[in-house]
Amino acid sequence: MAEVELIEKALKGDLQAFNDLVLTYQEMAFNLAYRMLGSKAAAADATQEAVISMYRKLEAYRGGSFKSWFLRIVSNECLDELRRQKRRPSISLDQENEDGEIMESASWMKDDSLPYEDQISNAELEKALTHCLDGLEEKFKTVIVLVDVSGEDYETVAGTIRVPIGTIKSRLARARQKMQDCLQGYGELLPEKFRLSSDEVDD
Amino acid sequence: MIKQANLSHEDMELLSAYLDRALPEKERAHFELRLQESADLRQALEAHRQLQWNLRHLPKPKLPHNFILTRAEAQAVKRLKAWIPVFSTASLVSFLIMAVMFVLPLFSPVASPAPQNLAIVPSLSAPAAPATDKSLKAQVVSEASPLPETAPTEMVPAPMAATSNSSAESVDIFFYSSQVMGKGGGGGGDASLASGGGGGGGLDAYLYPAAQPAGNPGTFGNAPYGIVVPVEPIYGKNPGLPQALNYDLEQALAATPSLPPLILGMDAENAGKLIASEPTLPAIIEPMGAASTQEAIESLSAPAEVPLRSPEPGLGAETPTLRTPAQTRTAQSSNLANILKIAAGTLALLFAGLALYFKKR
Repeated sequence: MAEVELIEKALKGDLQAFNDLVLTYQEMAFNLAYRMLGSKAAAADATQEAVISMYRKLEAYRGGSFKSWFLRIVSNECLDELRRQKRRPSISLDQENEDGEIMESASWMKDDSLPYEDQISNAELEKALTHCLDGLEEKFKTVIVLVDVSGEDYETVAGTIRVPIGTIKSRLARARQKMQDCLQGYGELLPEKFRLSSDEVDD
Repeated sequence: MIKQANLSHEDMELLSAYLDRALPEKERAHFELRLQESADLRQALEAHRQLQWNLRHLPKPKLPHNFILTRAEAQAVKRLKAWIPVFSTASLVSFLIMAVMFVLPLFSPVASPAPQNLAIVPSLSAPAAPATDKSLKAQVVSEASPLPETAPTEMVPAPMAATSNSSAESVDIFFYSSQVMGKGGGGGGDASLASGGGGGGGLDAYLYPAAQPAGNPGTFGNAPYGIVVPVEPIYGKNPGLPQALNYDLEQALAATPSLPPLILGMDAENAGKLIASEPTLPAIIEPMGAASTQEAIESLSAPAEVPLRSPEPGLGAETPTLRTPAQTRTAQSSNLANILKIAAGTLALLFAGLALYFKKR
């Protein structure tokens, strides 16, 4: 069934149509929440809250990109959660397993199809990227997650966070620069191919 | 190895947009020319490209569960939603009530109670009074005194006292009270100067009306204690209160040998002496100093309740106040209005909070 048709049915109170829309975008929403919040449990909560919020506000939907609208609700939930976390800072940088327990290493992202060396490299790289993402200000993190992690275009992101495209460009450039600066601090911890150096290159 | 180049923010923005293919064709061509010329730009572009690739290829977490809503959850959301307009409306109504409560007094014809509070009655000493210099002279009105029976029949606002004509020079300002709390039983409430009975319970002390025939100090009910508050004149010279009001302290005390007056505004030492000397009080009460008198005026003129001292120990633990009946009513209605304002404001906030809560949920 086409998205427009699903939206029309959902607006008329068809719960099944609404749930079909949720199923279409839930993975993208959860991924966004996860990268914004850095925790699966928090991401699941935020996504569920966003779905409930979307159902409640369905009558306020005024056309346009449904995906942008849903992403906006998800990102707002994540920003609310980040503010709550700031007020109650107790979040560990360690990852959680399926049961919500904290894992000692980044084995949760292990890809058995890769050689052991590459698995370690990927784990270190992801740890570094996650740490650098977490260190970004909310406004930069939102943009870089939406563009670089979720792969949204500028228009969608502008519609999602309701800022002009020029602002998106500017924030994205700053966010990428901050990420580069942060990753540079990892130095030798990163696999060589990911290292960013300024002292070993001759122009 | 990738070099971290030092580029301006404008270059970084161009580079970022170029990477995302978000540059217009013309700018894109121009930027590509610059890329060919600048190794720094090329390095930075490569670093950004790699970062973007890494971010985009971060492993996607597995969904813990589907996020669809069950029918029960959907109904719960709708039930909560139904409360939003209710609380929003209630909040709005409460806010309007509060606004009306604030605005209404501005258009009310009722005079502000402040000027009438504890009015200081200016009067001129009668020619017969011995102490007619510019110092203050305490004057006593005792309700038990055998004064002529022409009692005042109505209260006259204090400022009206300033309209009579007299050539006397000294100006006395005083308060009269017909009542002191805690003495005797029965008869609570307000006892006006002219009325008898009601010696106990009431707390309000009234101003004595100024329209009093000359030579006739009037009777002041049966309250056992008179109250005298000697203060300095604040309205300037009074053209003259009726002579009867300038009833001399000596005369009053002589007429009421068994009843000690309660002197307000006196310093502690003099008041203590006075009370200790009961029942035969000293004939003359010295006027207060300017500073203490001014303090007395300020304290009595304040809208807050002013405690009177009990003339005897054990006369009552409560503290009486000086108020007219009109003041009492005004104060009561003012208190009620304040309570309503606070209640309406609190409800407005409460309902708004609930509406927001349900909206958020």
